Amino acid sequence: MKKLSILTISIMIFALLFTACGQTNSTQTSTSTDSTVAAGTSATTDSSSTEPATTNAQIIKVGTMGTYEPFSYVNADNKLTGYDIEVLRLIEKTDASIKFEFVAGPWDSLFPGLDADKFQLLGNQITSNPDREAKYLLTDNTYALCVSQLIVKKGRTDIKSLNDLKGKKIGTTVGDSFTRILEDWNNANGKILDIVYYEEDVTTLLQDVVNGRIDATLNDPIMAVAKAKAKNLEVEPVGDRISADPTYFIIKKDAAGEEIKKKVDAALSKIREDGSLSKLSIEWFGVDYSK
Amino acid sequence: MQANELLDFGYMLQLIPRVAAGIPVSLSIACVAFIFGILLGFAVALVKIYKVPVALQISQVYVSFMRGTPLLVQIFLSYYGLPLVLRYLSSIYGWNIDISSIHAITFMYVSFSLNVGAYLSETIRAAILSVNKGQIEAAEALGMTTPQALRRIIIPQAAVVAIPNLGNSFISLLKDTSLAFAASVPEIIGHAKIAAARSSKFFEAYIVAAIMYWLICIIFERLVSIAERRLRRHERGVIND
Repeated sequence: MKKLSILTISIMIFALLFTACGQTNSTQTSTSTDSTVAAGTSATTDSSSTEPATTNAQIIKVGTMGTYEPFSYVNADNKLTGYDIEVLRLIEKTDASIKFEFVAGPWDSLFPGLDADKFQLLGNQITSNPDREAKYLLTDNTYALCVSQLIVKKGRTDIKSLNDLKGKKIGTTVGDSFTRILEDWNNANGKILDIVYYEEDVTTLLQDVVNGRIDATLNDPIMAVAKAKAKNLEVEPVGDRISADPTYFIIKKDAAGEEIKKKVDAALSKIREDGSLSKLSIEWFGVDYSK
Repeated sequence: MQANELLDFGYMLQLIPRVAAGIPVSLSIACVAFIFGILLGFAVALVKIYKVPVALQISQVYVSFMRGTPLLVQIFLSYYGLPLVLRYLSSIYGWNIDISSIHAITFMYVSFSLNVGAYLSETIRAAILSVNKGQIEAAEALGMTTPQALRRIIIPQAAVVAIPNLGNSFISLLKDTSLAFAASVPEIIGHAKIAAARSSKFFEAYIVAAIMYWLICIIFERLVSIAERRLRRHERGVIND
């Protein structure tokens, strides 16, 4: 009887060890301790070519949201696509020594993931700011313009500018550039905004705009319109553009990162000069946002 | 590599007042949830002990669901799911319920109370059952009704047994309140995340939050052991503390 229980315990321990070791590079990003699972994104990995590395191409893991229509999202065929993804695919075609492997994850796992080398590059309409520039490498070349506008429930006429939000609630995602714009504006204008911070995916935020928990949010109008169509949400951008900032790819600040930056920048400037980036932008947005 | 290249200690000091702004919120959620959780847990424990029909089945499902699903999922379903359900029902029945006026923290009070109540019900049930049957018989022999026996004899003795476990649950609950930020309620870790996201100094922010939780929990550990000693002051056992 004693031998039997020792046997069963050893079997259980071995089983545990094998399942732990048997997990190959899980591509789920989970360096943040919080709700990475429930954010509703699928951790799809997508290599843009079907053959395994035929050459000694450097595999660069790209962290992206995968839920940010139309810049980074999973389409009806379960394929990761979007303007940002396609720009990277164009870069891959331009420089045969690079191969991107896309890893989707929630916004708040992207920067920690970059720090922890879960990815080597981030591509998600990320703009520059002094803190990011100090801590990370940004590509010298930009590839898009990130516009921000107030987004409200369809049919609302009482909100046209940030000043109209006095006494109302505005929601925003922790850590993104729109939050920074709002916080800076708020500090400079007597703190009249009631900012509600969300960790969740932007879809949840827009749903709360629709159900009235918050009165508005600040985000890219292109994204808002695309999301509204994709998820049946009654939201619309209003008012003037509040900002228009160029977007960059973000890379870790170390020796390996410098190499990646050089390659990506070279490819990026090539596709800017030969017009293929402009063509891509017009294909996606009808307007050339790459300038 | 020097220590101040790994961690920006100056930034961590700056963060302390900002992160501390979340302490009242964390404490309020924990205390409110715990109080209602004890009441709920006590009711469920009695239902299970006395096997009250109908209520027993409901309690079993309640405890199983609350303990069996992750707290984060419960928060999500209640906070983000409820509006969707209401919208769907409104489109069918033409209601016009506006839940946007209910504060997020109310949702938190309800979610956390329901969750911790399920766990506490088992603790309380075990504590009540641990009281010597002889005590109950003696109470009956003296002519006490069940409520009287409960109040005068059983609960005081059950409380002594339950305190270490209840203290444990409360301290655990304090840490669980860190999930409240999923519903945009900024408690300790919420403030840490907001600051960290802006400065990209995640490591520093999380460490400050962790230390803050630890300090609060240490205070409560002391309070619980003081309470335990006070409740035990009449005991004359073999093992003397």
